[in-house]
Amino acid sequence: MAEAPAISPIVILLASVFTSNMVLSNFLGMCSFISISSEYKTASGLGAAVAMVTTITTVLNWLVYRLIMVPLGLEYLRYIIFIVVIAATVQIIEMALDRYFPELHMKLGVFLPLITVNCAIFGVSLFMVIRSYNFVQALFFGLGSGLGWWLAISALAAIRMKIAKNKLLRGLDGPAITFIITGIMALAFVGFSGIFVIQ
Amino acid sequence: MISGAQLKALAKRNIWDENQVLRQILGICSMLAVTNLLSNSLVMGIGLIFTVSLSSWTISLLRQWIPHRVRMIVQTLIIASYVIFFDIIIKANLPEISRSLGPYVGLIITNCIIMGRAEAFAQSNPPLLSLLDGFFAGVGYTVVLVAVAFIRELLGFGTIFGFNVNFLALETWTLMVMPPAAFFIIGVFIWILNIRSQGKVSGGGRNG
Amino acid sequence: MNKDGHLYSIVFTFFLTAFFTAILAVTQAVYLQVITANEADVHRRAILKVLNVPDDSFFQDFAANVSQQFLGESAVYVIYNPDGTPQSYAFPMNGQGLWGAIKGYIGVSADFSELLGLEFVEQNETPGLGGRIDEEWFKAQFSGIRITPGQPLVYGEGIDAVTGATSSSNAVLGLLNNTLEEVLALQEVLSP
Repeated sequence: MAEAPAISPIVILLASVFTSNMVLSNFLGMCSFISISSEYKTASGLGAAVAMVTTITTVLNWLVYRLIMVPLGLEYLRYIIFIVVIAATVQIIEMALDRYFPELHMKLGVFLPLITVNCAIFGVSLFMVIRSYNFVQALFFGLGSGLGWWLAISALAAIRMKIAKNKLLRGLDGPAITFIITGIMALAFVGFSGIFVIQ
Repeated sequence: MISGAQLKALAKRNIWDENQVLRQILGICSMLAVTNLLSNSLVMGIGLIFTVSLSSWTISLLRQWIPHRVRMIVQTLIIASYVIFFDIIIKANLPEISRSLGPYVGLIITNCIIMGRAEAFAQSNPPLLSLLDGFFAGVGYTVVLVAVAFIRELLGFGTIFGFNVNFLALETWTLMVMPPAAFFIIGVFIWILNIRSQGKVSGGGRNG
Repeated sequence: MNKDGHLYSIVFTFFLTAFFTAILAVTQAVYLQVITANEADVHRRAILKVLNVPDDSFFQDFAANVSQQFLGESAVYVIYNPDGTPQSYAFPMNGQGLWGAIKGYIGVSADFSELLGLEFVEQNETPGLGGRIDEEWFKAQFSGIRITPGQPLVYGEGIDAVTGATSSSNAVLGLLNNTLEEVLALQEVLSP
């Protein structure tokens, strides 16, 4: 087992929100990012749900990986196990919300099934293993990636609502302009590079 | 058996009319990140074709026995198994490419196209037909991916599959190597496609 | 048995999982040796590359051509001239990037005056941004650079950072300077 890199959890948090945003520079979670971003409220709700699930599953997968898979030499099965953990977590969160926070469940409930196949969540778990983060680093990485995804989809939805009233060139409406806006956003986020000092 | 005409119709539908990326806006996740090099994109495309064909085939084969309530988990399990298999094979045989793809091979599992074909087609069609459906959906996807990679590698590095074609030694376009370029290129592809299809069917809406 | 019953679901999922896991376990076992050998090859190729020996015969018979020595904890790889004097040294370097570990090798000339090359065997930076540190043009900038003790390398003077990836670029430079400092301290031990 490789040693955890000596990177401050705060740097990981900020970098995963801004410079290496899951969706804008790693292209993860694109499907729902494009299809559920035409309306701000819905997008923000999905973003919140993703942020919550990402944080929880990253921590759970870290524990499962370190405490069960590594000792048993089952690292090569991690894809299957991670995805099952994610699916189970989503299911449990849905039931728990329904039981204890019905209001929140009304808001986020519809998004939860969509989240199981959100690549961003699965991706965070894979990256955390490959980068051999320790527990705290994994926690902040999961949190930062989730928040970054939330920020990106909220911003995109807000922009799309602004341009919805305008007349666009023929054929540019819908997904085409969404991709181009996303590209410009990604370009802007690249500008955050260099605000973090390493070492 | 499947007739030639049927095969042609299936290929045309899955590669062109209902192209997963450009028409359905599915499966963009895992792979755009590696589209700045052609060789990486091609290997990822092959991985996706392999996984989507065989998982569609397997799911169709088992469709009478898969219990409805655990359907998603069973499908994910089958998909993940094929992806892990592919991952092991390229680690052993193409170590250089495996190294540069890193975690992105694993992300094929969450590619919405695979689950999409399983849900929309393999569940209710015979095995061989499902295999072909998955195969052509994967081909349609790979074609788009490789087209994006072609533009990015050519303009960003001045190379094609690693061979230098920048004979005039022109300045390369750094933006093309960076992530935003992939968004711009896909956006423009969809735009062009929309204009074309709207021109044919006057006032026709877009799919998906 | 009822297809939608609990018991059936559990038994079905269990057997399917067992079946696929068994296939994967066999595949993994069959290829394990090849995969491990491939990883060792990556290191060997990197070492030869930083030593400026593209010759394939060196790779075929790595152990005979490159001598591995240990100085305390750290390894050093040496290629000797036909007359027995050292021709060049390769040293491992390990450090942090923006995202995770960066591991690689640097090559220096026998008199420790010239940096021969730089190669990575592991990096986890974002593809298209920090990941570009693994592109040839970036690494080639470090070949043939003069090493001056007490003068760390900086970007701008003949070395360019990666656009949009300041953190990863700085991480590489910091790592390189640290490694060079350690390497210079070893000079006396290696070439008395």
